[in-house]
Amino acid sequence: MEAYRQEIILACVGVYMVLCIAVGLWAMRRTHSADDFFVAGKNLGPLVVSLAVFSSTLSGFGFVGGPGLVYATGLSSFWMAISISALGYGLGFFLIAKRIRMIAEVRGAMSLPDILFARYGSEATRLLSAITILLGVMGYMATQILAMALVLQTLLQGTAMFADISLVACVVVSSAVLIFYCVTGGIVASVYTDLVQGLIMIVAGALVVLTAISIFDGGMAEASTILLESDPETVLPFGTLGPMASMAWFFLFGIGLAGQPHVATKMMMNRSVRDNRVIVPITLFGYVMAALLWISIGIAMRALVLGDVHLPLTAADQAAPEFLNTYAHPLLAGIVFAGLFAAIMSTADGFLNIGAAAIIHDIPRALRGRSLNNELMWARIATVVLSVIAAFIALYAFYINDTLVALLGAFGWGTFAAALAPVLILGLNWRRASPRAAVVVITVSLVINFGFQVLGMSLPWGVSPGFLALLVSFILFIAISFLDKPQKLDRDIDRILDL
Amino acid sequence: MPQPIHIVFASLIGMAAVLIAVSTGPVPDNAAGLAHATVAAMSIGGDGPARAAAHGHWPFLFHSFTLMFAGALIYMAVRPADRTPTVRRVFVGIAAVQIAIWAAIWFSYMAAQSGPQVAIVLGFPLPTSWMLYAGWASLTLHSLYYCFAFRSIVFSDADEAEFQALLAEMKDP
Repeated sequence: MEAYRQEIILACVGVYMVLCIAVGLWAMRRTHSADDFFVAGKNLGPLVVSLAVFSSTLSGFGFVGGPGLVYATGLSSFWMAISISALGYGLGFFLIAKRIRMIAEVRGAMSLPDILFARYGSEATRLLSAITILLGVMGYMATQILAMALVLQTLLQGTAMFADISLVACVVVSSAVLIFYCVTGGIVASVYTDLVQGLIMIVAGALVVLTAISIFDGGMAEASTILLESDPETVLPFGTLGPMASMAWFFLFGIGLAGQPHVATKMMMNRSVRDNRVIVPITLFGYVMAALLWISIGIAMRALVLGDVHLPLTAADQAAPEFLNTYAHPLLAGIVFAGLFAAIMSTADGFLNIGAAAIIHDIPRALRGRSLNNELMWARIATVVLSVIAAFIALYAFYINDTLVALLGAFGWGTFAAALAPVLILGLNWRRASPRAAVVVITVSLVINFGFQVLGMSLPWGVSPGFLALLVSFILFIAISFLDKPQKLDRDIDRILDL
Repeated sequence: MPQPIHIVFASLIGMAAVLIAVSTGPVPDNAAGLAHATVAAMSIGGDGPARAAAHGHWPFLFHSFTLMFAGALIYMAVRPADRTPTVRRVFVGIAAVQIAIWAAIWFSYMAAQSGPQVAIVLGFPLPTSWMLYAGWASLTLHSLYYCFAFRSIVFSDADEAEFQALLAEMKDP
């Protein structure tokens, strides 16, 4: 089987892509309206929602970026995994899941800006949140498409037939699959591919941990000893970045999860609020299993390189591919690579969905008081246009100048967290939360995140600018809301805040 | 008695104050690690004791404020009518457990900076094992309580009936 490693991996990836196309065709039959396209008719079961929530949180980062971060900086990034899984989901479900779902049903909301408009009665809040989402979507989409194409190119170049395949061809192939199932099946296709991805990640997480432990005769204790002898900080709780940077990440990722639109939107899709009781533990379990993959590969590869067993990597993001290609059983490697594609695609399709909603639903409503006619058709067109623009940005970034992607990348997790988390969390749990505070906080968070990126500034102790933006946002939001006169809420929203 | 929003706000101000204090104090060269001398794409923590001496216990205070903030924020999701003494005790108890385990992580980490070779427990150095096993588990307590108390403080039968009534009213005002 070892002799056919590359073929097995490609076969697994190929099967997954075919599966995506099949899911797209199947989901198309369940997609009859914009409500189906954007929020799956608010009728998904708890298992599907659970796996969709955790797999869209993780994205390709969990497979590539996470192990790479552990390889590069030791355990610093583990605080992200701990905060998202253990704190973030509990906090998000306690504070926003129930009321988001209720408002979605009462008001027929299809997007996060719809929810914010319902809560604050402010078109400015709807418009600003939609623009924030659109900017973030472009950044995320470009990086996801580029990552997908680079991985596909690496896999194909390992075969004789496609040894010279270009990146452009890989961008076209991977984008075509993505566009096909997103356009045909909308969010229904997205969440069911999330389901597949989630299951793959749970199984792969368990198997990869066992593989990583079995590489060392003395298990993880031996890996820890190698790392301790080389540089103790690496395997102590805060890694090489130290306590302040790690704790800032904890805050940013744990609290900021509630502001991620691709995650929060999934909380509107379950068929009943009662299902949340089951969704939380499944989501938590899934993320923990996937995080084990992230940590174990990173630690194992770092110990193997520092123990002179494996040659040093040229880039930290090679940690997972190298580990899988060298140490994992070919079938496991194939499954995890398919899982990697699934992870990237499931995040990309989630973003495509909320981006399309911003273009054809939220921004027109904010500007002219109503959305476009025939929303379903325009949603499909917007999905294609967004994908094509993101693919061009990805290629432009790779071949010409990566500044654009870096700038759009600034509108990633940190900006979503700072712009949307306080507005959502406090808005749904505190009657004094004011529309003016929402507008100011969204604007300020964009300025802080964008400013740090444009000016190339950094904070002492490795503290993330995204953390600073989130902290400032919360403080400003509460202070402004205290200073403003309490707003009279619509009757339905007032009653929902009582529940 | 302070409202949860006051505790939330006070915790945020506390975090901001710690951030200002630690940023305006001495910042060592390796505050966020440094590049590995021979291996590309890898950083090392470098002189951990020097870094620990510079930041002192500020990070402990910083994260304690974070835990207080998160607990108070989640408590805001509980309706005032449901904030019974029992529920309050659960939230205070969770915060106490989380801060106690955080203290175990922190002080074993600081001890590892100044003491002899750190012990390996359950596959990892002691402070890391505190984080991986106890720290991670302690942070799931809110999620566990969410599942356990779902029908009493999150979405009770009465809530469900009230929501259905609201839906009916909205459809047929």
